[in-house]
Amino acid sequence: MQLPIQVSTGVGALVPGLICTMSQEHLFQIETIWQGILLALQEPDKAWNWEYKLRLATNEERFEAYVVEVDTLAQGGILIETQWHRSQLDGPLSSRPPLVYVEYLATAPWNRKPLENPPFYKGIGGTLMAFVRTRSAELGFDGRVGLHSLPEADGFYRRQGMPNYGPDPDKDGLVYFEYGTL
Amino acid sequence: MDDKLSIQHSEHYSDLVAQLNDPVWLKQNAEIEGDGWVEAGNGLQPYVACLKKLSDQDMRKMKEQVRVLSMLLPVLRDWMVSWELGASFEAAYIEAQTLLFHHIQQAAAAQEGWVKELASAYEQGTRAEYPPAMLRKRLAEILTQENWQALAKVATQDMETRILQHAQIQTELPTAV
Repeated sequence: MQLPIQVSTGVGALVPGLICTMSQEHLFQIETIWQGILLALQEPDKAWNWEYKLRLATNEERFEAYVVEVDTLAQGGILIETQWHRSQLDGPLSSRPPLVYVEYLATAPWNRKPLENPPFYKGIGGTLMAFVRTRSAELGFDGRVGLHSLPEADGFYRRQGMPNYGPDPDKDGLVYFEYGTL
Repeated sequence: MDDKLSIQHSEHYSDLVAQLNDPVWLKQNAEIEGDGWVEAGNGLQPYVACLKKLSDQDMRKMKEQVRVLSMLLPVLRDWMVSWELGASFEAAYIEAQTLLFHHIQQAAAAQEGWVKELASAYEQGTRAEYPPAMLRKRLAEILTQENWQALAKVATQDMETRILQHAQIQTELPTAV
């Protein structure tokens, strides 16, 4: 799957990009180039415990992974689970509607202001969320998407207009956000 | 995964394509992102913690490396597509990226001129002065003879593995009576 899109550079220009199904090439870039940026810290193993799940996306039906690519370089990635998760809204579990659950959403190290100002590209996270909401609708989940935000990103999901259901004790107190129907 | 993805044929798809190419939406989307922290998923906590520890020097290196990669990777990919490697393309391309990234890291650490030159062209918006033919020549110079041999070996081994896998599958199938 390759969806042509426009991506905003850090200075506001628009350049062509793609949303693609995550391939071995992208996985390599995340494992080698993104990780290579962190090698100076001598903590690569600690930082990269998420590649196992990304690999699952290529083997297990219930996972899907996508990237935003510009200049053939992965600029951000998302891993979703499409079969096991249900809405966290009140009600008995059996009556809660299914949703797309975001296992991981990350942008490349160079796409954030504290590290690179202006960042190389802006809006990668929002683009992936828009895509995944559409994917949820495609799957018959009416656009429902749930995720646990890291504390640094809570503001981003609030600004996205995602309803906030508070800290989840089962996920180290990370705040759970959930989009309702489109 | 692509087989189950019917998104190309849906009404949502055309709405999404319009949205993701709409300059007004893209501007709002960029603003909403704020400082760029968007990470979700408990497993990414160490990733974010590591990013916060990057020093100014690490960030300068990162900037240079990403600029050079942004200039060279598309040319490398197009060039390798023209070699018509078939199913072995992916393995060879991944190996080529590994080797190129290694050279860029080393050159950036040693502050070699070509890295600074390409990074500067990217920064100043003068990429067009480096047409693909010129960058292909640069790639040919960056990769060593050993690198080219390694690439050829990866492509050959990948093809060999594919052929042997097919033979193996056939020998394991029960014979029809």
